[in-house]
Amino acid sequence: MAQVRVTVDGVEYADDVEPRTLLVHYLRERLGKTGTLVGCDTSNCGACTVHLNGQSVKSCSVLAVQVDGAEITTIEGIARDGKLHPMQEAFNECHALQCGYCTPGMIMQAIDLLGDNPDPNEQEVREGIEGNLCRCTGYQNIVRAVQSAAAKMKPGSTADTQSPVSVAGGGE
Amino acid sequence: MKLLADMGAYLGLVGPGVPILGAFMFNSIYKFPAYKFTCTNVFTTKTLTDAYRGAGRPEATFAIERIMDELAVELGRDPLELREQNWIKHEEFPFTTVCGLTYDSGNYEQATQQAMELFDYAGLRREQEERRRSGDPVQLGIGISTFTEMCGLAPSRVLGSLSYGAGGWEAASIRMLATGKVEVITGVSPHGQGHETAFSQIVADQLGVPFEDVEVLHGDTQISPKGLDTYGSRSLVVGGIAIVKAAEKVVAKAKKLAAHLLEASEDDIEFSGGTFTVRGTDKGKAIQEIAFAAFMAHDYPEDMEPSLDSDAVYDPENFSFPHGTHLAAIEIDTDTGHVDLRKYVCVDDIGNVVNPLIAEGQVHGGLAQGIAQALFEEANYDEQGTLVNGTFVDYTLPSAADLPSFDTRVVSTPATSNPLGVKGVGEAGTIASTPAIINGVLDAIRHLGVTDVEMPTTSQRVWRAIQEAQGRSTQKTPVDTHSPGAGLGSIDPNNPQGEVQ
Amino acid sequence: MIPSKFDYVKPSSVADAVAALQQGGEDAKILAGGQSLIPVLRLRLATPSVLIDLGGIPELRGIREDGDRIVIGAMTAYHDIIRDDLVKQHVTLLAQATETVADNQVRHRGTLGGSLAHADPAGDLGAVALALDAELVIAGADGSRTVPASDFFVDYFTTAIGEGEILTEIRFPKYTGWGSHYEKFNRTAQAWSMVAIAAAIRVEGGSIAEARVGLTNMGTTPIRATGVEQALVGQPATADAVRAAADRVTEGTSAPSDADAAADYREHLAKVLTGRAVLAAAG
Repeated sequence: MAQVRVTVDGVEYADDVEPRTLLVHYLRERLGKTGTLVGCDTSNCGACTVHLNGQSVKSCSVLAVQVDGAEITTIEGIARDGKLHPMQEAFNECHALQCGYCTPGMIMQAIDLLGDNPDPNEQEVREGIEGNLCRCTGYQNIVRAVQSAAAKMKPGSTADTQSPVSVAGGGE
Repeated sequence: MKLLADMGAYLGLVGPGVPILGAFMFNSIYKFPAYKFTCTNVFTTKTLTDAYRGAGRPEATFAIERIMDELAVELGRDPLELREQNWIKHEEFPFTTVCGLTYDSGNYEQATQQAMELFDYAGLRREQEERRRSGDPVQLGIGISTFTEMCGLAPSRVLGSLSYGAGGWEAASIRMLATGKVEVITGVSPHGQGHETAFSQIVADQLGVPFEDVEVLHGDTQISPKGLDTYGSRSLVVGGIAIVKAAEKVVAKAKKLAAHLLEASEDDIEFSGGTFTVRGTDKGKAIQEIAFAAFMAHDYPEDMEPSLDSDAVYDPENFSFPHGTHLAAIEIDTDTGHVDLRKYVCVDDIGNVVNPLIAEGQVHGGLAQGIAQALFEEANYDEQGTLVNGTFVDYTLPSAADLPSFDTRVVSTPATSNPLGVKGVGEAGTIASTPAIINGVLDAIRHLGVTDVEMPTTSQRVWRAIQEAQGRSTQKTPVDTHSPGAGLGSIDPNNPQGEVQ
Repeated sequence: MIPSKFDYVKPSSVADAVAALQQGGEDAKILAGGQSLIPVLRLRLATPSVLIDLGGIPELRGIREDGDRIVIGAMTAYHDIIRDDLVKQHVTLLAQATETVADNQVRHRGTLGGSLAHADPAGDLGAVALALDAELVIAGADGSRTVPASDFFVDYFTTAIGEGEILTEIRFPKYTGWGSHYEKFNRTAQAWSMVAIAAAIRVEGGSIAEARVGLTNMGTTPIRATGVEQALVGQPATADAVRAAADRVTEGTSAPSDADAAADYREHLAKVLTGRAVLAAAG
């Protein structure tokens, strides 16, 4: 067993975990954060994407022991005081989700993408989310949602910026 | 039409029925004078097959739309003109096809006209010609698919005639609460199709209540015990109509109580915008008031129960027949065999549209799925019948970076078989798109002598087809080849299950 | 699946890591970014007894200039390599190739050293290291040694890193002012390379003065296309001349056959893509 201290969605946790425990299983089964999903067995689908120290990662391809001392944000940690993150709002408005299975990972990756590139064109969005598979939407409304959120999240936009918005991406 | 259908190693839920469903669709939008269909279901040592988005109709549409293209080539005709010559004209609806289905409404001319304009069909044909003339290593193909399908499964008597194990009705219950809110219980089961939204719209419209006051319940069999679920593009076309029928009963009961409370004859009661009024007066009551009065039951006519709650089970009389015209511009790099979908336009006639955003989302998803079948996805088995690409490492599902945005439009010739005039859209994208892509791939390289390319049209298959057409032989993939996979870029063929160093 | 059980240590220095590796014996494995290893563990294609996580050794990360070399710590993530000014200016090909690897999430965690040590012939960065004559610095109990890339890749998933040794940094000569291009051919955007060509070209007075060409997935290791390089020198950077030189790309290769590409198709692709890569690099 190994000791892990980690902050997840703003709350500190300390646990003993088997070294082989995947981060996604730690989040889901130990912390009960089932918003993050397991979609494949081979690190391809991206449904498990969370932010680790401000960068999007596939939590199925990170061991829980590797995140000792780190800060993690999951899909459950991006709304503020009951108000949806602009990316979540954009996904809702643009009908960028159907079954919703890819959605948590897709949203987390999209937020990271905007952190790196606040004003992506269509091709840049498509390449930016190439690690997140979706079967339902054909991606088109997802691309729209990301660009819509980008417009709202740009500094100087007229969007409601009351609550500080979590934007990840960039350096470690 | 002789069909050999791979069932896999054992029968699935509706696996054996899928080819039969498709049997009605090989004639598609065309006026065939004669048609014979035989099907043999075959057991193979592979994973079982069952209904997959389109369930029989994609297979049928693929066959007929490929045939139309090949026929056009053989006759030296433009493939769209040949289709138009043979399809059912708008004025000919309702039309009973050679296999006995009656298509209620449609307008293939309208959908095709619009699609061609959006696509710039003439311009792309010119570009294609130019590239052929100049021997451009990147060739352009135009893929066409003019489809119809049968959905809104299904009239129960038809299912009976096919020895299907169940009927095709759908159930709905509507409860108007004392508060004026409405609970709708449906037997269909959304998993992303937005039924709660669409059904709330319908009920709000039927009962004249605010959209926000409608709650749609589904899924939990304690709450919704009766239903035949979601598949076959039926949730709106059958489930939605069941809701309409239930709503009509609610309005009928409410009207009776309203007449009583307004001291008028039922014949003098009008219902509009959620309010019952006595004709020619300003006396009226909102439906919410009637619901409350029913709950209170202090004053109601003798010949009714103090309740507006109503059930309906709706058995459709006919299938519904959405249709559309899909056009794909395919670029092929003849040096590498790489296939690129440059542009995809579709105009789909899905009858009246309840929610355009939801309908569009269904088309997008269906297109991606059908296009992926043509370009990317396949299930590979080795000689023992083991699926060798059972993970996403080598089962190639496209990402957003592998697909373009689609230009999708909707037109409506309302269905005449149901009060909402709706036709269903859930499977249309998948049904139409696969042959559009394959027709486009072949259209791009037929002039090089290629007559067919197996799906998915991977770059290797396209390249091999071109080589062989030009008289150059190519290696076959060795039989015991494993896909690259298992988290690795490549597998040591001497040690395919072995340890990594 | 979940991985089989293993012990886990996270040393804070290279010396401690080497000691842990020796102690762990032949069933110990290094954990770098984990983007290749963890999927392998999850499918139980490897069942190590102990994992030695190098993530806690800061001196293994980072990019610096050392005279005429750009030195990249083995644990430097792809994401940082792509954005680094030194890399973009002096080892452009490396940035170009790294950008094509997998997807964003993988690029946040995956490392250059991890990729090179894993030595998957379909991995993109081996061809770059080989083409650019990188030097790989390997630390063991007796100190450090430097191995040229030409000696580093031995076989499938096998490198010159011996038991008890750790790759610590990768040293690239500078190719400032060279043109370069990584031409990658794969089935879908996030997929591994079917074939890929790494090309760096120095053009002088309209003709090719120097050429470096590395091949991904044309053998059991990355391969240096020396035949192509020789054929290119002194040639004008024209389509015809380049394509003629590209024809030599299959020399010294043993193209694998897999479901995506049989050997003959792979060889054909290599020729076509080499022409494209060199022309793009030559500008």
